[in-house]
Amino acid sequence: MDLAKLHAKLIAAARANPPADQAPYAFEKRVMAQLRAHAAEDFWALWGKALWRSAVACLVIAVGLSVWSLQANGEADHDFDSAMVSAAEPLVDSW
Amino acid sequence: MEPSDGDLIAAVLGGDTASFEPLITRYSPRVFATARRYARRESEVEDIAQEVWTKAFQKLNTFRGEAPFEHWLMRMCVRTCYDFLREHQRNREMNFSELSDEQSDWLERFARDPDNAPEDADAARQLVQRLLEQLSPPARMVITLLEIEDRPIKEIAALTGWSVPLVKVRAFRARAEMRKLLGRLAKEKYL
Repeated sequence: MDLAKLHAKLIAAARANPPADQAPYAFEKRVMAQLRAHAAEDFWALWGKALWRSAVACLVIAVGLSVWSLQANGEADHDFDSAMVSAAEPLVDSW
Repeated sequence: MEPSDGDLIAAVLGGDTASFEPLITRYSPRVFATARRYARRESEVEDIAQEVWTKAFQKLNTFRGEAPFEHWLMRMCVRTCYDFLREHQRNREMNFSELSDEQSDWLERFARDPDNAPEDADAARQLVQRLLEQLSPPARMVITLLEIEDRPIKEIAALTGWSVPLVKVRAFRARAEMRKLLGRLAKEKYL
C-alpha cells in the first residue's frame, strides 16, 4: 500500500469535511451569565483577601503594642523599685 | 450599523459588561469550528468554547488593538485546544482490527485503486479522525494546522506561541508519527 498516497488521501478527506461552526442555542447568554457570576465571586474573593490583609496588619500592630507595653512595664517596675528603695536609702546613709 | 469590535471592547473595558455579548455572538462560530477539530464530544467542545470566552473576558485589558480581535481570540482558542489535548492525553493505542465495516471497505477500495478512493466519503473522514486521535498533542496540533487547515508556518507559530524552528521540528516529528501509524494500519490490515 502506498502510505504517502494514503496520507494525502486522508488529509484531503479531512479538508473536504470541515467541522460545523454552529454554536449551541443561546450559548452567548450562558457565557454572559457565567461571567457575571464569576464577577460576583471575584468581588467576594477580593473582599476576603482584603479582610485577611487587614487581619495580618492588625496582628502586627497588636504584637508591636504588646512588645512596647512589656518594655514600658519593665521600666515602670524599675521606677517602682527605686521609689521603694529610695525611702530606705537616707536611713542607710544616716548610720 | 453594528458597532465595531474596537467600540465593543472599549465599552467592556469601560465597565459595560453587556457589550461583550455581541462579540461572543460574532465569533463563536470560529471558536466552535476550531474546538470541534480537537474534541469529539459536543460537551467537550462547549467546555473549550466557554473557557476561551472566559479567558478572553478576563484578559481583554491585554488586547492592544494592533491586530484584529479575531486573531487575538483565535490564538487564545488554539492554545486552549492544545491544553485540552494535553489534559486529555490518554493511551489511545488503537487496534486497527476495531475499524468499522465502512472504514475497512474504504481502505480496501484505496488498496485496490488509490486514485479513485473517494475523499468525501464519511468512512475516510472517520478514519482520519481515528488516526488523529492517536497522535501526540503537538503532532495532532501541527498536522491539523499545517496540513488540514493549510496554514503557513509563521501563522502556526503565532497561533501556538511556539517558535518557527520549533514548529518545523514538530511538523517533521508529526509526519513521522503519522507515517508510523499508517504503516501499522497497513501492516495490521494487509499482512
